[in-house]
Parts: sequence; C-alpha cells; structure tokens
Amino acid sequence: MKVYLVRHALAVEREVGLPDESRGLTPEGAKSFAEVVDGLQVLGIRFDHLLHSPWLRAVETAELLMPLLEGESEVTSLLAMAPNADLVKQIKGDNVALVGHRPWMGELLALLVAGRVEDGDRYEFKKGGVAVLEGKPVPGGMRLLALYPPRALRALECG
Amino acid sequence: MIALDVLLEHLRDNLESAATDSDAEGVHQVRVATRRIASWLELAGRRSLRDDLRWLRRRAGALRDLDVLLARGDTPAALRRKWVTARIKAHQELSAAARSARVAGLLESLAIMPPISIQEARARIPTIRAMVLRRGEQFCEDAVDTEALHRLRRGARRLRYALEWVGEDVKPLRRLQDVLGAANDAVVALAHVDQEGNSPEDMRYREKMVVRLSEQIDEVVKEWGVHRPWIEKAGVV
Repeated sequence: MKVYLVRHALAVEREVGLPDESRGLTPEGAKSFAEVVDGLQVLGIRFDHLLHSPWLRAVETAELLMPLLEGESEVTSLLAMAPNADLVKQIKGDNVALVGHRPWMGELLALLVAGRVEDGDRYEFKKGGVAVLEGKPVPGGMRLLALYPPRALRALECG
Repeated sequence: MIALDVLLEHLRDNLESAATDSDAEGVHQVRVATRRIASWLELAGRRSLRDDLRWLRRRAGALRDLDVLLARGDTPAALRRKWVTARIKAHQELSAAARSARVAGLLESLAIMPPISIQEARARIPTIRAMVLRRGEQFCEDAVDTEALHRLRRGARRLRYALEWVGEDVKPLRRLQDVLGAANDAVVALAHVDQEGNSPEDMRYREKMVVRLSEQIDEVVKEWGVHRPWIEKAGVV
C-alpha cells in the first residue's frame, strides 16, 4: 500500500477577523499546486481514497487533487488535530492521499515511519509538498520513499 | 450572494433529531438538506465534500425508504416485521454516522465555505438543463428501464434545486418530480420485496407494486411531454 501525505498549498495570511480554518488558497498557491498535480500525473500517480482536513485551505488543495482520484474523497476532523490511532485506522485502500497541516502531517509521517510523533519536525514538509510512503499503515509500519518539495514536482510538469 | 448558513443549520438540527430520536421527519429533512447542499456545491463548481454528503445521505436514505414502506397500509405483516427490524439497524447506522469524524469534518467544512455569486451559479444551469433533457429522451426511448427512470428523477431534482438556489419559480418541475417520486416508491418497494419477500401474500403485494409502477411510468411519460417545453427554457435569462 502507498500513502501520499500532502501539506496544503500556499494560503492567505492570517489576519484579524479571519478564523484560521477559513483561510483559503491564494491565487498563486492554487496555480502553483495545480502544477504540482500535473507533476504527480506525470509520475502516473492515482489515488483510490483521498482524506482531507475540513479547513478551507486543505479542502481547496484536495479539490485540485481530484483529477487524480479514482475513488472516494472523505473529509475528516481527525486531520485538523494531532494524529492519533483513529486517524491511522481511516487509512484504507491501495493508494491513499491525506491532505492536512503542519505540524500534524510531519507528525503523521513520523508516526507511520518511526512509530513516534515526536520526530515530526525532522521532516521538512513544505506547503504543497508530498511525502510518499509504502508499507502497512500502522505506527512504524511504513517506509519513506520520497519527500517531494513542490518545486521538484512542478519541474516534472515543465519537463 | 448565495450562502449555505440557513440550510446548514437546518441540516444540523435535523441530523440531531434523526440520530437521537429516530424522528421520521428529521430523517427525511436530512436527506433533502444533503441533496440541496450537494446542489449548492455543484453550482460552486466544487467536487470535494459531495462524496461525504452522499455517504451521509445513503444512511438517511436507507432509513427513509423503510419509513415510506412502513407508512403504507397494505404491507403484508411478515414483510412489515422484517422492515421494522431493518429500520432499527438503519437507525443505528445513521446515528453512528452522525457522530463520526467524517460528519464532524463535513459540518465544519460546510460552515466555512465562502458564498457563491448568483451569476456564477446561473452559469452552471445550462449544463444541468441539457443533462435533464438528455435523460428525458433516454427515458422516453425505453420507458420500462427503471435505471433510466432513476437517472431522470435525479436529474430533474438537480435542476429543481439549482433553479431554487438562483431564485427561480420551480412549480412545474414539482409536478414532474411528484410523479417521478411515486414511480420510484414502487421501484423501492419491489426491490425490498424481491430481497426479503417469499410468501404468497408477499408475491401478491409484489404484483400490486408492478401494476402501480406501470401506471406511474405512464404518468411520467405524460408529464414529461407536458413539462419538457418548460424545462427547455428553465433558467434562461
């Protein structure tokens, strides 16, 4: 099984009166991530399950990933909090994408690879970045195959 | 601008009463509200969250279908007992769904969706209208195909909700939807009898449903002919 952890693309800045969960993508963030999706397409990546956080920037990032989805998308409040056992249980399918936020995506990566969330900040997870994992979705049951910065995936699209 | 807030509040309230008290009207309203919200997402050009609404709607729908069947006075007693048992299980599934992280995420996400403009919504209506006309033609080519009937029913409903979002009068569509809905009730009853019925009494009930379905299909063909010209112009400014 492969798991693709995706950090949301570039969102509008925090501002007074705008709740954090209501921050959507900037036009540049959306455009840039659309190129990331093209890069994933060049790599032949498809998902049979797409889980995403309910926050607007994650919903809009998930929306841009829809052309790669051949199954069902699922919003879950578990991606808007620190990763836990319930979230890990939700990872079902052969090629599953999860779209969420920092620091939790790094912590989820660390949990799946090393079995402990404390190592999450060891991974440089850029906005619009994608980590590819393979193995069994249990704590410590996966290995990291790639951690793509968005620039690398955009370059694939151009090439 | 068209915002979701009022309808979302309606969904929250009814989901609570459907999940807690198994309230039949609440279940019905959950089904309707999830469809209307899916229509709003379609007009907003969003694909995300529609699978989640469908997932929730299926759970409410399973319960609602049983409520409609049980509301009929002519159901054989043995089938009725099976459907009462099935209703308890369907209610447990809806309650579990209502308390899931998926529905919590769905409600949180819908609450922060930015409103859409009426122009943006109107721009998507011609595509929906063309889909309904296409499905109507397909249904008329083979009016005994219940799958074509089902597609037309869903298409007509999508057009109705889309028109309602932009403030159009949809009275003529309601009549078509009523006859499509009545035909679908017979299809659902037949599916349940085929799955769970086995006594001679069940088979007599089945025959009654077959006759009712044929009558309703005739009604749909007639109403489609009456309403088609209106649909061709629906939503045209």
